Amino acid sequence: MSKTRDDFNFQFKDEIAFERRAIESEKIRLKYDGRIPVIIEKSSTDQVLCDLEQTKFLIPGDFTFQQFQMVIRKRLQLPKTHSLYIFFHNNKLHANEKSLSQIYSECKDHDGFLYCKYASENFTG
Amino acid sequence: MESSFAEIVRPAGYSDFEVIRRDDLARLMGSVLALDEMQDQDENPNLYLLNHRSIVENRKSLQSSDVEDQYSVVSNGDEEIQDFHKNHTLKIDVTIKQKLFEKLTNFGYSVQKSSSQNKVQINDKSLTYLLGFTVDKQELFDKFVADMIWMTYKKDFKPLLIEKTSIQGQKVQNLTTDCNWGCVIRSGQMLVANALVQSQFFYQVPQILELQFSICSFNDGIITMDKLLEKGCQIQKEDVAIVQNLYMSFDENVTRFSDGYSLSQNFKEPEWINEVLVIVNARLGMEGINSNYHQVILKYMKFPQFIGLMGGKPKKAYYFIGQQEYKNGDPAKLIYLDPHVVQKYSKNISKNYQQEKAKYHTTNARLIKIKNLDPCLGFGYLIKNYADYKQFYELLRKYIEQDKENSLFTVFEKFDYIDDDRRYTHNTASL
Repeated sequence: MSKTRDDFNFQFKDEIAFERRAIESEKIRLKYDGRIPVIIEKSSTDQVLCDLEQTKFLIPGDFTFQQFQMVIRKRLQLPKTHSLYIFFHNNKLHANEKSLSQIYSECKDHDGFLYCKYASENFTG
Repeated sequence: MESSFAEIVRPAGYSDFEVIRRDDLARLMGSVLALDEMQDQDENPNLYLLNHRSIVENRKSLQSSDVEDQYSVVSNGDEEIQDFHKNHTLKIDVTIKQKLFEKLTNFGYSVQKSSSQNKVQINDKSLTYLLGFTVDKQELFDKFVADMIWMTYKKDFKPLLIEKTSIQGQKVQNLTTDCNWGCVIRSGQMLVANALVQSQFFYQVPQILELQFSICSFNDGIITMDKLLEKGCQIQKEDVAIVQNLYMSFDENVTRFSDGYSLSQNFKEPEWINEVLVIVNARLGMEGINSNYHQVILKYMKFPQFIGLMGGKPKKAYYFIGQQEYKNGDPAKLIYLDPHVVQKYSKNISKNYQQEKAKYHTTNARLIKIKNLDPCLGFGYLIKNYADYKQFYELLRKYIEQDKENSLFTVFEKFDYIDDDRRYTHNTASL
């Protein structure tokens, strides 16, 4: 488990103190009802995909996981021939139909944000 | 069958188009599968192109302009190439490093082979599965494994006339060996080759070894047999009559999940004439496989249709053929064949097959713990006929129900085409 935690370092977390993050997420939750603040960053091991320009997203809670993926794909301008894998804190796969609010309740961080990492497939030689 | 019996199999958590792909692997496989098998085609040097990044669909696409943009494609008339084989300084430059790698690889393999650790031993304390079936005798196990095709690194094939930056960032030039970078391809080759061995069309082993895997496109992560057979037609001129016959019957039923076709739509009971090799790619965790999935993976490897698992340790690809369970409660281990040994490339495989049998078969199957695996896996299933398909489908349904949260796949009764951009664009906002 310690291994997966290592990969779950976020620049966002390093830059901003916990208290400020907690306040920010609360504000957002109040202001945009039903939307989920998501922080998404590239996995440190990935060498193929490019970085997202924006790492903060406000996603409607009734979005399915698949729709969320398509949002990210569009941002990355990823062709259909490339794979994209998104993992949340529990390092598990999620069904396409699962709504983001469901995932949020399972995997949210203490500061109120939903953190995730994206990657393509590993290379082996 | 009615249209109500339409379903799509896909791993949970991916959008429609990416589900069945293991794109990096598939692209690697599709394009470079038969580095050495290709070498006899002197008349078309463009085919030697080693194409990591884009799928090689056919010869046309090889010569298309976007490929030329990526690589310096060398044509037949180019003097540089004419000189290349005489130009030894260039060649030596490459091979010193390569020779070192070769020596290291072969040394590592010989150490591994001679050690008794992790060797597959069949006894009363364990239960061994090989491609979905239980094996209870050591001799039987050895025989089954020896019948399988084993692909390894090859050396001394004609240099691949390319100059490009490889995936690890190092510059690769005029390769004569795939040592140190080809193991994913080799493990994929093993999967396809062994699927052909298991096929109900009874291919001879040398016949399979001679197939030009490189042309068949793996662009959907699914290899339909017709692609292989189509290639088979072109190579084995004398067998065309037989093979072509088969090929014709395959022609109608190309199935691509990602194109929006469903499994049963094309495979109606009375008309089922083709076999389908399904490779389902999944990444089961960011770093290392989530421990929840260990049992699930083992379960999916017990399918009677199971034909192998592409995967490996980080940076090392293996071909997994089975598993061993222990009655004393130890976690189960996977059995694999290791492509990490460099052998000399040989021409005329079918002619020399009897003498060189040891190159393509091995009994050296090894064990590995699941927790050491790399999270990127490709499950291979060979579905031979409608009964097989029904069984596969029922088993999938059963396991999905059992696993619930941890299930790797989802089955859809009806295909719902989801690519409607409008459905999400107006709903998103950035912070």
